[in-house]
This record gives sequence, structure tokens and C-alpha cells, in this order.
Amino acid sequence: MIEFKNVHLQYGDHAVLQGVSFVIPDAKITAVLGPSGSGKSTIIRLMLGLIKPNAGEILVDGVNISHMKEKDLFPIRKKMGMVFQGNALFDSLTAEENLAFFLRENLRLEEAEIAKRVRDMIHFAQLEGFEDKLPDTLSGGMKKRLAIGRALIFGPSMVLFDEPTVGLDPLSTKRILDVIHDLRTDRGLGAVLVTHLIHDVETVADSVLILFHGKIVFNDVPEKMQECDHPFVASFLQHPEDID
Amino acid sequence: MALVTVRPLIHQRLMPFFRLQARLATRLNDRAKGFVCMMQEFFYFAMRSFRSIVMLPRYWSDTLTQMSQSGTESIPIVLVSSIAIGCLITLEVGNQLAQLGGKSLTPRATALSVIREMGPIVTGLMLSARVGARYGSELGAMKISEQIDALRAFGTDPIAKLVMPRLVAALSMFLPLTALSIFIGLVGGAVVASSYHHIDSSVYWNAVLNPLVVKDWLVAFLKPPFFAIIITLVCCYNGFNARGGTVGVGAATIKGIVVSSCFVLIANFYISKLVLENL
Ligand SMILES: Nc1ncnc2c1ncn2[C@@H]1O[C@H](COP(=O)(O)OP(=O)(O)OP(=O)(O)O)[C@@H](O)[C@H]1O
Ligand SMILES: [Mg+2]
Repeated sequence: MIEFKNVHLQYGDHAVLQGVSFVIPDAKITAVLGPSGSGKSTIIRLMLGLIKPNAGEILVDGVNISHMKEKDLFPIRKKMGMVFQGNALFDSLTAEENLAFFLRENLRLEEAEIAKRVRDMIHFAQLEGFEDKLPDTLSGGMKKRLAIGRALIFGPSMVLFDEPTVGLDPLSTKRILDVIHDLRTDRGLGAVLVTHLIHDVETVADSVLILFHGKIVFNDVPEKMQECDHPFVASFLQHPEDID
Repeated sequence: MALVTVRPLIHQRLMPFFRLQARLATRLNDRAKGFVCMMQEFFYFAMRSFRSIVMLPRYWSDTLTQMSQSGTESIPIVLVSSIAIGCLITLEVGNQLAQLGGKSLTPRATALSVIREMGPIVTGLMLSARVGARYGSELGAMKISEQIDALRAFGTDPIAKLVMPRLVAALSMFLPLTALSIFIGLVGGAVVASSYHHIDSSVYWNAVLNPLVVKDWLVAFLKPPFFAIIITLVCCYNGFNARGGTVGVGAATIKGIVVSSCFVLIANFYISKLVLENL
């Protein structure tokens, strides 16, 4: 479970988050919806402790991580797999090496065990035959699946997706959303799905947070969005393509 | 009574000026604050880079790769620039000394300027451009593609993984590169001395090597480690702080090279001054 308590974040004199509070439960898919630049990626980075809030508390499974030291954060981060907006794959490493990289770096495992986990993950990401390819030579959907595979490599209980379907064709989008859905139903993994696409929310999300001008303006199940009378939510539902 | 009415009028007239002044002061204040924060951050970055040298065994293969990329692959540019400088100094100094009737002093003058100053400084500037550009742009590109965040998110210290191997590589490779640069500079000087100034080679080398004292070598070889630290830390720090797409990577790289080159020049002056004054 991830909990934000009155979190404020400011870059210079630009207040990105102004007192944001919410709870993200385990084993559920929670979407964070908002226009570009509203601070969606910032929220995910705060969850991982990559940046620190100016005020407020961030609790992961009851532990306050807002002022934690980098080396103490690893056990917390291990519980959360992260799929970055631009995948953030290591471009000089092959698909297989990208998956093995953090196993070698951070867990003391036998090479045989690493190879087995990597094989399983290649199978999961449906990348058989592409093990030796560099990320640049893979298609957008494949890169995203590889990034998801990497996010799962430590066996997390929650996966954070930053705009996972942006720039993908409809078929790849469906495949990625199916993966997110299956992770919850088959493995019981929770997910935070940051997006600005209403389609993603309607397809997989169990609940949705809407972020606007640094505040949460809606926090409920997607079906209730129609009843929300906040002007941004209303206009967004009417013209979802004009979200920005 | 008159004073009472005039004063607000002056005030009103000068108001835009006061406002400008206030805005300027705020700006300067912000700049100064930003600068202090940056220095603090840089100092912390430097401390962490040095502290992570204890993790060298773990990142040994990364370090070897960096040694080959920043050391071995820099040999051509060091050779070309140092031979050019060696030839040029001998040519010019020889001509000047010939006019004063002291042509025989040419080898000694060449040796001093190549060993103490030109060898280290040309190497430092060339490496600042070549190695610094590489460090800044590589890390800048990793930063904007979120690879550095990915390292942190999955529990790897990006400073230990990315900066420390580069720092160790530079520390170990800059010294031999400077030695090579000095040697090649002196060889270039020998060629010009014999072909242009008609100074016999054995006379040249005797005049170069015999009067050399420990101080000369100390000045020469104290500099490369400092240059290595300056170039690596400044360029890596700028790469780590790149923001705003490809333009941001370019800007971070340029800033790294410009700032590190300036500090190389300043460090060069002070090291020479300190050693020459105190020994
Ligand atoms: N390191 C930083 N320094 C200064 N401002 C920043 C920094 N990182 C983000 N911002 C600003 O914070 C705001 C929120 O950024 P964020 O990346 O979280 O937005 P987002 O909702 O994810 O947008 P997008 O949909 O474009 O990804 C933006 O206005 C951005 O310019
Ligand atoms: Mg974003």
C-alpha cells in the first residue's frame, strides 16, 4: 500500500504538487490521470524515493520514505517495479543483458539461477528469438514489454507504469493493457498506471485519481467520473483529446 | 509644508527605478542562492565519487573499459598536439634567443616550457575536450533517457557505477598520457633544433636532460591527477544534471568542457606557482 499525506513539491517557484493526499491499495490497478506537465511522473518518482517532497509524508507499506537515505531505500524499491515513460533500457546492452543486469548488480545469485530467471522473463515478455538484440532494434511494443519484464525481475508486489501506451499502435496498446490486467488477475500484483488517455483508464483501472493544477480533483472508481462536477473533469470527459 | 507635498512626488517619479532595483536584487539573490546550492551539491557529488572508490573491485571491468576509452584512445590527439607544440616552441624560442646571441640556450628553454607547462597543459586541455565531452554527453544522454533514474530505481548507485570508474580511469591514465606528451614534445623540439637551428641532437638531449631537477618533474606530474579530478567531476556532474532533451545534453556537455578547461588553466597556474615558490 502506498499512501501520500498532504504532499507538497516545488521546483524553484513552480509548485507542482500542492497538498496531495491519497491511498493506493495493493492488488488493484489505480490510474493517475492528468494533463501533460501536471506532475504525474513526479508522483511516481516520489513513490520510489527518486525525489523528496518539500512537505508531507509518503508511506510505503506503513514506512515513511520521505526522508529516507538512498541505501535504506533499496528494500522499498525492490517491492515496486518501475516502467519508465521512455523505457530507460540500457541501450548498449542486449535484451537479455538488460534483464540480467540488475540481478547481477544487486542480488547474489548463481549464474544458472540468473539465466533461468532471464529465460522466464523473456518468455513472459514474448521476446523469444530477440534475446541478443539491442533495444534500438526492437519495435515500440517489444521495448515496452522488455521494460515491463525488467520491472518484474525482483518479483515486486506493485508495478508503476509511466504512460505505458503512449506512442504505441492500437494492437500493441491492447497487448500492454492485457499484460497489466493479467499481472493483477494472475499474479495479484497491484499497479499504478500514469496516463493521460481515458481509454487506458476505462479498459483496466479499478480506481482513478485525477490530478489538476497540483491537486487531486477526483478519487473514485472510473464509473463515477460522469457524476463528478469539477469543471476540468467534465470538460475532459467531453473532449478527452483536448486534455492539455 | 512644501516638503510634504514634494516628497511623495519624488517618490512617485522614482518608483519604477526602486522597483527595478528590487527586482534586480531579488534576481541577484536568487542567482547567488542557486550558485551556493550548486556548489554544495557539487561538493557532495565529489565526496560520494571519492567514497565509492571502495567499490572498485565490483566495477573493475567498467573501469578497464573507461581506461581504454579515455586513455588508450586519447593517444593520437595527445601525440599530434604535443609534437606541434614542441616544434613550435623550439622554432620561436630559438629564433628569439639567436637574436640575443644565446641560441645554445634553446634546448633548455624548450625543455622547461614543455616539461613544466606546455606538456601538462596541452594534455589537460585536449583531454578536457575529448574525455570531458565524452563523459558529459554519455551521462547527459543517460540522464534524459531516465537510465540514471532506472539505476537508482533498481538499487544501483549511479555514482559508483558511472562516475567512479571514469574517475579512476582518468586518474590512472592522465599521468602516462602527460609523460608521453612531454616526451613527444621534446622529440619534436629535437627535430626542429637539428633541422632548423642546426643544433646537434646529442647536444640538444644533453642540454635538455642534464640540468633537470626533481622540481621540474614534480611540477609536471603533480598536474595530471588534479586535471583528472577536475575534468571527470565537472563533466560528469554536468551530465548528471542535464535537462531538456537533446539540446540539454549539448548544453551540459559544453558547460562541462568550458568550466573544466578554465579550472585546468587555473589549477595549472597555482600548482606551478606553489611548487616553484616552495621548493
Ligand atoms: N527537475 C526538474 N526541475 C524543474 N522542473 C521540473 C523538473 N522535473 C519536472 N519539472 C516540472 O514539473 C512539472 C511536472 O512534471 P512531470 O514530468 O511530473 O509532468 P507529467 O504530468 O508527467 O507530464 P507528461 O505527461 O508530459 O509526462 C512540469 O511542469 C515540469 O516542467
Ligand atoms: Mg510524465
